[in-house]
Amino acid sequence: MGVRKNYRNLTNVERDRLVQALYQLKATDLVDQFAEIHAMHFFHNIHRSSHFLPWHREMLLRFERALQEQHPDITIPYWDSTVDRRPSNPLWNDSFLGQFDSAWDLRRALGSGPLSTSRQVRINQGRDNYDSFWRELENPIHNRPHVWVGGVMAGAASPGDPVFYLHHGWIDMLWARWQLAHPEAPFEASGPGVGLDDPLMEWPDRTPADVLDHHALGYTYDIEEITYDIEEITDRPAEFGTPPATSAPAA
Amino acid sequence: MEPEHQEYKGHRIELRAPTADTLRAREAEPGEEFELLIDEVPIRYGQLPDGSYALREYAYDWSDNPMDLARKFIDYQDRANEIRRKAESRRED
Repeated sequence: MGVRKNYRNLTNVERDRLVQALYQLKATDLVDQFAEIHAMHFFHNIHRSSHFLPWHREMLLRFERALQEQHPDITIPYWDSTVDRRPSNPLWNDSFLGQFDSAWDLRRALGSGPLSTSRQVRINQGRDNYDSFWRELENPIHNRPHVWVGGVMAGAASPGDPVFYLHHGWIDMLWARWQLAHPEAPFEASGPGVGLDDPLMEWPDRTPADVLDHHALGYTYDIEEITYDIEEITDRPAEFGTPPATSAPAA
Repeated sequence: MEPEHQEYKGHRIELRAPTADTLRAREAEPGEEFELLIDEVPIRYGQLPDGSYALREYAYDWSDNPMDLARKFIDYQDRANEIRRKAESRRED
């Protein structure tokens, strides 16, 4: 099972592998195709509806599988924007995502708006029903980093910036963590056509019911209890340093 | 919603009925009944399932009023341009 982890825990090899795979997917037009799909459906239930989280989970999964065709060990890392809040953070180093700004003409303006805090995330993790959880997770927690990065990331075609995937990896991790903490909370439809068994935009053979269990989709997160193998531990990165604590799970 | 226009920080924001040419040239997003322009440049927008509006180019700051959204967009562009200008001058130093 693939482990999605905080980008700070990537080894140099894993980081470089991801960067190279992103360039490959850009060259084959897949990055732009995903951006176009997102822009095309932006106003059609993939935001501001109960399909927001499942739709983006499915999208990330599809993009991750495309990355894995470049190298089978790649998983999408996540960016916890309540912790890494500065343009000087290693996320934006030229050896990592910084290089894409000029290479892909992303017109970033890091710091263009506020970011949410770990306290806001903790409060959100404590919501006891899906409806209030996803609404607050989407806005402001999810929206703010889009504006903070600016440029392509602030628009409807935001998947054109690779940080989109690290940001949504974090949002998906927060959903997974909330699900694990609230196993009895049912999926609640926000309106007609966006229920548990209603088709997702673009992928009509898929529904939220198909993606509720992220373990069944073949991945887990580093915040879950996992056993690392010894090779992974000895391949720890030097450049990114000790990862800061991520937002604490709700009690 | 009604056609209207206003000046904001030296920019002209206008919400007007689309022309026949505009209607032919583009497929409207949900809720995009009127054409939104800033300084005569069309700004694409749409309506989200909860009724709030978003711009395609500035899609993650929502409002129940497209004119308000245009003002937010102008403020964002001012901030972003200032950040880019400072970053550029740091690179040159």
